[in-house]
Amino acid sequence: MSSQAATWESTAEKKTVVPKKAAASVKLVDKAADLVIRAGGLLIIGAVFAIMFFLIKECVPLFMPAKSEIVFTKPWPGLTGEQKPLFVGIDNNQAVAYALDAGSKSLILANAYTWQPILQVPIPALAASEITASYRVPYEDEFFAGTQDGKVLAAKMPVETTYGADNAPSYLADVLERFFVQVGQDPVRLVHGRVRESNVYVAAVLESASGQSVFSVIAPDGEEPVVEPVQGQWDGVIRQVLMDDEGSKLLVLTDKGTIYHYFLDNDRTKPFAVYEAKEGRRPTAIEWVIGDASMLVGFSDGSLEHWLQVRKKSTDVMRAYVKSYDFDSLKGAVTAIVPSSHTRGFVAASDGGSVHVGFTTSERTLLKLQAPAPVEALVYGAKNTAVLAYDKNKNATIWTVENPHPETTFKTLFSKVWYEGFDQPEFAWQSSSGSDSFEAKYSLTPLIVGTVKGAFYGLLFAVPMAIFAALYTSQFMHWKNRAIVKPTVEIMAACPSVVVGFLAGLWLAPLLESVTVSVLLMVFVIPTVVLALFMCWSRVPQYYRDKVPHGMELVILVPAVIVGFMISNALGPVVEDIFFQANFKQWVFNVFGEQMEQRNCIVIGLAMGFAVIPIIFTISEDALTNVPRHFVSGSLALGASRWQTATRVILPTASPGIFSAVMIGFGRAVGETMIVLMATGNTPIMSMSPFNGMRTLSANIAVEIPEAPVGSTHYRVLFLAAVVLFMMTFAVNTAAEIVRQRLREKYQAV
Amino acid sequence: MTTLETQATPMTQKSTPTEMTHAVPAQAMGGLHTETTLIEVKDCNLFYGSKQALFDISMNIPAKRVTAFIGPSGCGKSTLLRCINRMNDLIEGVRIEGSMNINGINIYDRRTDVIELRKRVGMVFQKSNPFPKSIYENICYGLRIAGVNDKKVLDEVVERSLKGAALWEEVKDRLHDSALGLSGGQQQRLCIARAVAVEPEVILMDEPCSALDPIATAKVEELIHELKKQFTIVIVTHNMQQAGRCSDYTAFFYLGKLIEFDATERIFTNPKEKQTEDYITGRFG
Repeated sequence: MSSQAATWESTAEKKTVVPKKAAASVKLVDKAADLVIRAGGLLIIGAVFAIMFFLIKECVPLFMPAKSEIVFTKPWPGLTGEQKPLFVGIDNNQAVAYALDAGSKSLILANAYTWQPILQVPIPALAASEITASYRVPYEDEFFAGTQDGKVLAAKMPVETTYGADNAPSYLADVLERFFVQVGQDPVRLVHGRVRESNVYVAAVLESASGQSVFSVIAPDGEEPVVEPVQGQWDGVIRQVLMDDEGSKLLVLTDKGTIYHYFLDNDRTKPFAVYEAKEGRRPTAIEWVIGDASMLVGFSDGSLEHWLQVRKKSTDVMRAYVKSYDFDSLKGAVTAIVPSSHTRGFVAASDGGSVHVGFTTSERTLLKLQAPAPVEALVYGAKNTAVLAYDKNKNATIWTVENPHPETTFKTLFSKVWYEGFDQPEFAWQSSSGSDSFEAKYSLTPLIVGTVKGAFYGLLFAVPMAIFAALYTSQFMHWKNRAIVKPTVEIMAACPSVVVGFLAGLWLAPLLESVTVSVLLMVFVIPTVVLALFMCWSRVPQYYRDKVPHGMELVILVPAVIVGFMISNALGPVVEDIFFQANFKQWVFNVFGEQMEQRNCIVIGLAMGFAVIPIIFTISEDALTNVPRHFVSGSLALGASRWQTATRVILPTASPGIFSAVMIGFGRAVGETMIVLMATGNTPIMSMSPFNGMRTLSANIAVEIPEAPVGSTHYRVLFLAAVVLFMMTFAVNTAAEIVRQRLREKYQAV
Repeated sequence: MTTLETQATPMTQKSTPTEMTHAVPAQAMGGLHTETTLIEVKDCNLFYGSKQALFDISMNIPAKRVTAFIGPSGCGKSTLLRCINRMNDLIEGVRIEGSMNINGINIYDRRTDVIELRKRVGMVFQKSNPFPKSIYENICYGLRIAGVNDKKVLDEVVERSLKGAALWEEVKDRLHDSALGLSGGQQQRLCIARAVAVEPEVILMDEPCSALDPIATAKVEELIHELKKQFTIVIVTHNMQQAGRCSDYTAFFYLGKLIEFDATERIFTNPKEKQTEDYITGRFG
């Protein structure tokens, strides 16, 4: 290198006009340009990866397994009674644990962290009688107690923790009596109930020497409680009763494992349905899941099932239970089930000491914990981050539970899920509602289907239009017209999609609704009119045709299109009368069994088509124009007509370019947000039908991200939707590129 | 071919070329008067917009002979060649005056079907231009667009055309491979075979060997020699040796004018015009 440079150095001494040695500034600029371009490219790649990384980072917690740690196993401080506490609980802050002590007839509170006794709150109402039954509502500070002398107490027990200046906690607890009512003369053996908006619904089982009787105690809105008996022939000793939060559904479980299902509003004298134990295993514990619609059933062999109410006929109001899900089995018979206070989660425990944390929607057993002894009472902390089990050895064991997103699995996100209130497993997206007991439905499948549907109908309209327009423009149009048409179509792309969406949703959709048939007719009528016109045109003697300057034939198209438009408009009502029973909407409903929505795929096709036509047209037109002229000459010289040349030589040769045009159009349609947001109706349905709308991934993100709390499952699922969208466009573009390369290899021009 | 049957153009009425050939006028030079004329050009003027490219060209091109057009670049020889199958129609703003008859039919008559004309007058271009299809489909193209889809007929034509273009032995095992995989010389012979496949009367060749190496050129020239038994060939060439080697008649053009047209032998040994001599001996051009 250096020797060569030296020789050049010597030859450069010959003075020439053009300096042979590049100036230092030229080299510098060259280097700088190289550097800037390189840095720019790397930055773009880096940015794409950074976005991808960020999106994935936000979604990863959705799929993290649950974690748990045992905090301690200790005897409950300050319990006096010989028997187990009547119930145990933890307050809403998960700071205070409490137990109802049968001996002292008082609530005994302990610090959940230090396990130091805090307070003892006596319950004056119960002082005179012996407590024989009790139940704590898992998601309210409410409890019920039954006494030896046949009375039922409903009470609220607010526990408050306040922190002083030195951060020392001080506690305030009270027992506020709602009612204390005489149900019967016999001892109350079982009690269960719900409190909803100050309505109290209780079920109680009283036992005498002559038998057992079930009563409902209902006190609406602070009024005097009404006690009414529930009649039935039970096949054994009643082990559990469940009352729902409307005072309507009542379940009775016997020691034979038979469940009697009442609708009290309908018939108090006999059960609506009876579920008998089968296959040598019997239910030993039942409990509502939050919302009191579905329930969990624990069995003698440790298996645990989720039961849902399902309609037999679509007109049924009262629905019987059927098994929907299985969970992992526990060791020994299931003894206690406690639902979460605000999700579809639960904790179940068995006499084998198993403590399982699960989630119904996602059909998951999240954690399998082991208590040191058979579990008798169970608490699921209000924040779902702590579990307390009270065992036969009179020890309380506390675990911390960490699992912020129990409701998401690949199954709940992409597959059919049997939600509450559904008669069979379905795909559903319904992320939020006003109530805590709402079961969030996070299936992305309807959104993916909606996205594909929107893009499909958009392309169905745009692809033929854009490609034929490109073919005409590049191969047949006079170059002077072409110079006007192409930039005009490209300007269409500059129209903000929010404007297109706005017009489509608020102006076009209502307009199209009334003239659907006419619009459908236009698809056939306008081309027919245009073709007819050209047929006539070809009959016109050459002499007159020659008088029309080349390229002006486009002008006569304008009236043709207008005439076609008017014919369709006039024919629409007539055709509707004759073929569609004078009402197209009704006809669609009769024939396809589908309601025709105002925001349907005709609107989407037009609006989305408007958005993607320019890009498909431009790229296709370029591809067609770039087909080497010598192919055209070769074809024409063989006696091919221009149309034959266009379809047999030019189109195949330009096919890689046209293909990538369509794919880029598809990518654009998939990612399109504002048009689908405003013109689709945003209904997340699983249907490819052209008569209704859709909700797309992109529109869904735009609609819901403002209302999703940061870090919540909903928030992360929306990020996952973004990842799916990213992946979809990535996959489409990659596939398009691969196919394009192959086509290009096949059709490469020499 | 349906268009031909429905539209009674003058060309179809006179489908037998032999009986329609005209005797070459007496003033024709050399051996030309003994030949039968196929293409008759009369007072042909051609304008690109306002610029005139051909001036009063009149010549009779004989049937079943190879006629070479020579001359320096821009002399109008390719333009005239492209007039013969109306390829100039594709160029915007071209105007042609005078007449050009093939078999006595004016191809610029309004009633002439251009598509039929081009089926009768095939063309091979300077740059070999096989379509991005298989070898087989390239040959079939002209038949398929004419509506011939019978596999047996196509197979036969492909074999005959490739044999006619001396390409059969080289490609018979890979008929269904892409034509773009062939070498430059093979591609050009494929284009000739493609032109031959539609059985035209005339084959126009626009500098067919200018992009080929000497061996490929020799093969194409050999082929031209074979083809003149069946076809009337008009070839534009820059290569004087080529014109001398493979043509029977040579026309020399200069600045859009036909300077001299005579038997090749005479043009090269004893040209009448000074300009011809200067060009041939390499004094300009």
